[in-house]
Amino acid sequence: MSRAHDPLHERIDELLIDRAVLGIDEAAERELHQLDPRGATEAAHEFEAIAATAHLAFAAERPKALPREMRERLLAGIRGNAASRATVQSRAPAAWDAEAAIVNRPPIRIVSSRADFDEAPPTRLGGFFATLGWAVAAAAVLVLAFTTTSLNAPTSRGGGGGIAVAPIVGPVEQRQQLIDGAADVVVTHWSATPDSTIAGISGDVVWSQSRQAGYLRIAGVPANTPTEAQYQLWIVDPIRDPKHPIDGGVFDIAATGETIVPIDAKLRIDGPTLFALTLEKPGGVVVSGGPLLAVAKL
Amino acid sequence: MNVELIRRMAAGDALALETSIDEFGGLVWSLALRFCRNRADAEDVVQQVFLDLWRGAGSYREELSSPETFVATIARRRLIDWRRSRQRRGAPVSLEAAFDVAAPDAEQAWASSDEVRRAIGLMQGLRAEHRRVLELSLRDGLSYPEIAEMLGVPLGTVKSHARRGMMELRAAMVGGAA
Repeated sequence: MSRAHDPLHERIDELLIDRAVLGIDEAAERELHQLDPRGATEAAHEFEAIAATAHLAFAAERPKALPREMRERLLAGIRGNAASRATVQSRAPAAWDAEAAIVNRPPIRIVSSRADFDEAPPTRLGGFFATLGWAVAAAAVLVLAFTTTSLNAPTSRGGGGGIAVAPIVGPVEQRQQLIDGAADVVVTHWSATPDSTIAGISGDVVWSQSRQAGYLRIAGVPANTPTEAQYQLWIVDPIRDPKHPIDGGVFDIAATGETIVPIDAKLRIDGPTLFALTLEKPGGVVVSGGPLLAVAKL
Repeated sequence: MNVELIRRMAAGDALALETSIDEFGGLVWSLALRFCRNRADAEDVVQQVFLDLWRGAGSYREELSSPETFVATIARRRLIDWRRSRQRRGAPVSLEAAFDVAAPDAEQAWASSDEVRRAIGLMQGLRAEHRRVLELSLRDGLSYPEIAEMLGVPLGTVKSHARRGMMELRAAMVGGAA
């Protein structure tokens, strides 16, 4: 009897497929072990590879690049704790001997099963990653990200004014004063989200971390009726809480053309990575329920 | 060459691990972000995947899989672990992750590799209903009951589609000798 028509092997294959697709619970694992005490290792790996192949195809439909700040965090972890010989020579002494880390690295074992893989003894690099204060690393890298962004946006910086007496000015002038006067101003541009109803949005966001101030400049967005709905700005700050964007204030668009709105962050912003625009009920909301219309990524 | 890159990692070359972040980072991030739908969790998964890659590079067998499939397999193990460790339903979905998932980045080298093109070709050969269930489970991390609810079909049908889809893929990958 072929494996395909053998009920025992069919059931084993079912369990192995389910495990490869989404994992199985303890009861199913016990059943699998009872049916095939040897572990069906070869077939298990085969289905895992099939699942991985399919997942590759799906991921390629909307390929993403590793965000720069995350790449820097990963590299910082490696360089700071298990750096290569070359890297170590070009840096100040690390907290511990990186070359020794490589020498002391446990020998690579041939992994024959999932259990083997998971039970591999932690390397010193692994220990580092396991204990790394993610937020601490993120903070350091985001400082770098801001610096880089500023340097890459020379058009956002003015020459500096020398204003002796600050006159009463409107949002346009206030925005320009921020750009001219704050050394850490970053600029990012709006992009409509794929399903947005405001595909024609243009404009930018300027933000100064040191001053905790910034401005939206928006055009191409339809006027809202304030008694029915208002636009609301959200600020994603992973250092604070990536799951809960910070309310950046509500505002109205009264007419076509360009609108400049001061950012009204309700909390201190430590490391913004994205500004998002939604349409909410009048007065705004605590947790966004409106459609995500546009974003400006740092 | 990515095969050589994995060999170097197996030999303990930490520079190769750095290089692997550039070579495979986009791939792993793409897998994790869509599956987790939460940027912070996806970042944790990516970190763990590269640690696993460093630890497990010595297990790579060129004759059995491409480097991309090897990395994706490691990533999937971590994603399944992540899924198991939390109650997925009701998990927070950040605005940022929602946008990131929806918008592809500029053309990524990993997405045009021979292995990925082969994978896309295999998936195109699947029956639509099998492909859809695998898409929702493998890519989006939805459970069979969640998929059944979403598609409005019995749970048994979802399981059947997933299993038959996987068997179809196996048959295709070994040249029709299922």
